[in-house]
Amino acid sequence: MKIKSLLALALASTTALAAPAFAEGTIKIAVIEPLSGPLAANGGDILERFQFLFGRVNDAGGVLDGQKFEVIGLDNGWDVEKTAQQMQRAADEGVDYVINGIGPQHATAITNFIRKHNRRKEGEEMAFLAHTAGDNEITPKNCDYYQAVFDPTVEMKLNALILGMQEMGIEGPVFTINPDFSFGQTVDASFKELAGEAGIEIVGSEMIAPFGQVQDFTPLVARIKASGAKVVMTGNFGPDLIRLLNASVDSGLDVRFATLYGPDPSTMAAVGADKFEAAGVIAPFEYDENDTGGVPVLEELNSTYRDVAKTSWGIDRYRMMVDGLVGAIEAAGSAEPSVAMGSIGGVKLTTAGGEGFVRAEDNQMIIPYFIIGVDKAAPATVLYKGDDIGFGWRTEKIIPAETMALEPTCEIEKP
Amino acid sequence: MEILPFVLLNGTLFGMLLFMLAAGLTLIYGMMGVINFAHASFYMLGAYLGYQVSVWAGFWAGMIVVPVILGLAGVAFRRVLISRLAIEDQVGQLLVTFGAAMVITEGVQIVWGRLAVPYRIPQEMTGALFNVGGLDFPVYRFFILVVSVLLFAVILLILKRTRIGLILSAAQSKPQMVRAMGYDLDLVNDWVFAAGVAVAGLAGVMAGNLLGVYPVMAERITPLLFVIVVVGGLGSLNGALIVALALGLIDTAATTYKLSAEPLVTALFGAPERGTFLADLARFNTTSFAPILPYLLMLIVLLIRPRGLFGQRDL
Repeated sequence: MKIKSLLALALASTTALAAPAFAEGTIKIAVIEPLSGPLAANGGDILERFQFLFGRVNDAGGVLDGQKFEVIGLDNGWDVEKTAQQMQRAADEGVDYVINGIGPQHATAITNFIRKHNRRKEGEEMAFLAHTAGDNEITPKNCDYYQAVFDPTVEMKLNALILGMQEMGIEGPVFTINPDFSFGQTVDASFKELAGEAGIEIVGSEMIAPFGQVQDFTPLVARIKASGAKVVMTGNFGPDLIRLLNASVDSGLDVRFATLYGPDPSTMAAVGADKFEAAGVIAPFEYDENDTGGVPVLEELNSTYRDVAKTSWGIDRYRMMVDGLVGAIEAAGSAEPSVAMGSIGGVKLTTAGGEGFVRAEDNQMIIPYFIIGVDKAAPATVLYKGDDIGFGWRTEKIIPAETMALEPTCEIEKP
Repeated sequence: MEILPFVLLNGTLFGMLLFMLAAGLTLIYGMMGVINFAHASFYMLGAYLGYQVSVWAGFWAGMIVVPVILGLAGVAFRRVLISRLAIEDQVGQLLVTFGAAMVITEGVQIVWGRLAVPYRIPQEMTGALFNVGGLDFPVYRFFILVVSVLLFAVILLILKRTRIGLILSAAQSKPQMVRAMGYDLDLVNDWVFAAGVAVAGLAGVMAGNLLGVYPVMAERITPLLFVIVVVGGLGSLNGALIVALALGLIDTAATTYKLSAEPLVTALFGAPERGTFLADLARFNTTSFAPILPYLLMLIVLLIRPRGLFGQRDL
């Protein structure tokens, strides 16, 4: 009897400990990402970076009259149902701002929840800050007063890629390979449309079953060869990209790879510097560690994050989001989402490539974009959790913000 | 047409790789009647250990050491977990081995992290062996092909020609008789498990740097393995070989020579508008469909001939 009740007590206390409670008077941020399962490394990485960034703001005195941010991570295990549950939890805990980005299906779930929640609970509104643009569901299709996206849309990235290719003298013809789900389909359709406008010839196209299901990429390599393509455009990532690059380079295929996810440390580590170089990988991205444009805070972040997290700073849009939020709060004079989100449109952002901003019509971040290429001799090689990947990137072209800004396709209705 | 030899070679290679994996699984089932859901996890362990050993002592050390380690692990696995279950307890076997698979997956992440590890092809074998229709066939792929064919020959020889092979075959259909003749059935089963797992581990060592080494690689390949073993016939080595090769070649061919439903749909109904059901139907093609073909095959075989092509036990 005694043992049973002791066990019950122990169990109860552990569940109580597992529930993070927010302190009073802070601005509450919830990062909802996969913190368990196959994507746990990515989700965990993102949470760490946001805790680091908001921590710096707090250390510098916080916002307004000394208000501090508090960041918690809520695990969705990459399951949309869990995302919905965590949103409810966030609402119950009085979270002000929700951050998410891995997987457009989760963004949709969050958007839907917030719309309903904000309508019903006046005074307890929540806002959604998206750090990654997935398919076209957030913007350009569904913008909202309580939403802001801190990543160029897929179309903007592809537009930048094509402009970069043209300036670098990479002509095509192009073979496109993309993962067969919402994101990949968006990439495929957008690229074809933009390439058509730019006069780039597409000689072949394939949608593959995603996430490591295709084991052998040599048949695809054979098809690329038969098509006469000189460039492969791919939105693939993870094992798919690893296998594609391996198969292509091993077969001596003479093509360049225009990727979206080339600069992923895991892919870089698995494929290696020589093959990356042989594949002539380029990618559109928001940051190149080797080219901070002389911006002091970026130089500082480059070295500080390496010390603190044994990882390259490599990704900069989370900083832009934090800066954007702080800027909005300061401009609005309040951290309440109902007020602050009104000032997020028009916020100016500092980036390595020049000035950027959040466009007021649709709360879409517009920033200069980099086209980066592989550099085995880069001064700053990519570092990931203590592992030096052995090579880095170099900026081939910078696309200015004005050129990045494509026409907005939705307009926010002020509440 | 020049790419046909390239396609055939790679399809064969892929098929032989699948065979190496499936061989252990089908032998273990055939000899012991044990369904080992963790078989692909041993393949994954082989890949991770192959990477680790290659970091410390080079690729060739891994080729030798890792199958031995895994063989021992297989024996330990059988003695600690499997032997406690009754032979007829298939549900128990499924649950235990499924649990073991999950433990191995988590364990691998704890030791090596969650991202892919940088397992590379050994320097001596990078580069092309020959050029086929403008595409290189790398030395390394040829090496895997040779090793896997040799392995098949060796296994077959052992089973048919050596005394231990005959004992193993006998133990498959008449285990009580074998025991009555004085052979230690426990030891025999140890050897079977060790061999099956060691071969899977070897496949991991060789294929890891080709296909990538990351925590969900086992999950991805397990369904395919079971298709091969079921369709080929549980316990049949020949069956596993034929089905594995067939799947490798069919998958490769379906992806290389993409047959699309679009011409047919257009001919019957006219060019479909984007977003309609007809448009989705027209998108139907062998490349997207290729990953599903194995399961379709298994479905058909299970309906018509549940014991598989060459199997002796019914499911």
